[in-house]
Amino acid sequence: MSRRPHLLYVAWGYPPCRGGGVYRALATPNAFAAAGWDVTVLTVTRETFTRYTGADESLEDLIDPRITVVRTPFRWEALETDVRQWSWLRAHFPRVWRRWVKRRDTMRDLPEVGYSGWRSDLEAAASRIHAEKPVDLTLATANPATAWMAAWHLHRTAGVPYVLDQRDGWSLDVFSGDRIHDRGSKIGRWETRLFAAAREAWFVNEPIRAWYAREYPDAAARMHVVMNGWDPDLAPTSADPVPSKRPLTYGYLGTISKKVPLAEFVAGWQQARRDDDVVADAHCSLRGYLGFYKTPDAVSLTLVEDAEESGIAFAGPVAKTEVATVYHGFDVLLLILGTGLFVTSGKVFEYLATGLPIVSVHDPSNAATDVLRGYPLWFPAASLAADDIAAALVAAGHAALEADVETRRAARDFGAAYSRDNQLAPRVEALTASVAVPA
Amino acid sequence: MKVVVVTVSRSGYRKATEDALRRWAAAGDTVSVVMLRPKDPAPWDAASTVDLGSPTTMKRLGKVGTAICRVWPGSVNRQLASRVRRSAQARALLAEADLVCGVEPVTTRTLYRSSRRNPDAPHVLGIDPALNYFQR
Repeated sequence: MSRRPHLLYVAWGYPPCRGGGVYRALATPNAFAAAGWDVTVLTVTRETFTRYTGADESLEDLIDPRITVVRTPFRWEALETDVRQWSWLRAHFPRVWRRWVKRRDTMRDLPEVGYSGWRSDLEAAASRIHAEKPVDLTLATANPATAWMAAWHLHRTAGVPYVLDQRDGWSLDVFSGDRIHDRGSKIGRWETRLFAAAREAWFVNEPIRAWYAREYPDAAARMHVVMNGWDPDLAPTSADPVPSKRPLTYGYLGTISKKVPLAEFVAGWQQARRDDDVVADAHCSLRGYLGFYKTPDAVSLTLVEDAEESGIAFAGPVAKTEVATVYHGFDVLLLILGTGLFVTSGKVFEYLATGLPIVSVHDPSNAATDVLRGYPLWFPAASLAADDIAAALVAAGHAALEADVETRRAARDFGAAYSRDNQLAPRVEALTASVAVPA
Repeated sequence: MKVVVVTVSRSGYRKATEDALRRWAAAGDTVSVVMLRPKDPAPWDAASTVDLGSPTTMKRLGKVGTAICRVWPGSVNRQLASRVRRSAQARALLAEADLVCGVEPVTTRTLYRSSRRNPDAPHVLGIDPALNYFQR
């Protein structure tokens, strides 16, 4: 009788990380565990998130209890705020120190600033795990791409097949569409080497997969789209959706990075309040983080505080376990995304699960457009001009009040196809069938 | 807990610093402020304040002075550190502190020197990280 297959899943951002990619990192090993695999997750210490980025400890409750989690130390020098840990050079000449750190990291074999120092601990931990219990497949998710080094290390030293999961683009700038690392650069050479030997490579949307397939045609047949999806705790109830009542609440939930066109949205919102009574008495609730770190980004915070008089309020982050409740309090959802042909964002799937009207405030060429096309309650702004955003906000507000039950039901049914389970299942099944497990 | 806040009184940090002082005081901590003084100083709501005077700047020399400041930007950092070193009151407060918070990035030299003399106390750069330090 053969033993259960053993998956080593490698991710930097694993619970209690609260970053956008964590939901995929949480769901993927859970899906393998549910499919009968023994799963070991290799990640960084909890302190990495509680100290530097902010943590959502409620996410740890969602880890499948059958999963073994191995944590390795991770030192995030640039975000260390306790000066006792600083060198004399950093305290006295911070700019010189920053330049030196960047130079040091770019000179390493795998030049990934801030993360490449993690590689040695990661590879050692992967070897230990494999020695204790042989690994049959490694699945590593980037960013950071340093996580892929564990997969490469086990492949090189023990012949373990691996899958690369790419949530973003390593050589591809997903916002501009430009190649940011030449094929002949260190990163370009690493990418070529890694894709050549990968059992599979996963991407979050078709535009990114197509770009990589063009760049690495030999590996194209092994490249798959595994979209993000909504998680089971967001599953809609079976009851028929009901119309909203005034005053409406427009809501945004997610990380508001510098790429998010917040200023354009605020201008559109203010225009819509002047144009239409429904929006004039509505509220706008922004939930999540302002920036990637624990301390809110000062520019975004100022923008939001200045917009308070027009009914916009920033109400801070939401624990994952509270997400469904927060969506329940919204009447219209705001999908405000940075511009980029290759940008989907994970929250588009959460939004679809709700069946609520969705206002797209992003460039129409975004990959999110492909996901939303056909959704009955989708109101895309034609451009990021205030008038176009205002028109979409007004139309969505009226739909929230007036759309009939059939339309709302159709919206919910449309979203049902995008559960995360549906996205992961085909790949989990294929890998389960293809991985040979020695007796 | 004795908290010492080190600041060069930049106006953009004022509101966050005042909020932090209130939060520490509400939690029963004794808060002291060691500061380089701005042009129009407003009093801090703290148990004690050590005023180290205004920083001298070459900007008063006009365009030439401003240009020199641009290529030699560490001036305030150095001045704060040296004035703290010359102030017995500031040194005593820092030596007894349980937590030292540097408000602006230019407080790093002062924090670094103080941390070498009082290594048991966290010396944290930034108001939010300092407020959250003991929640780690």
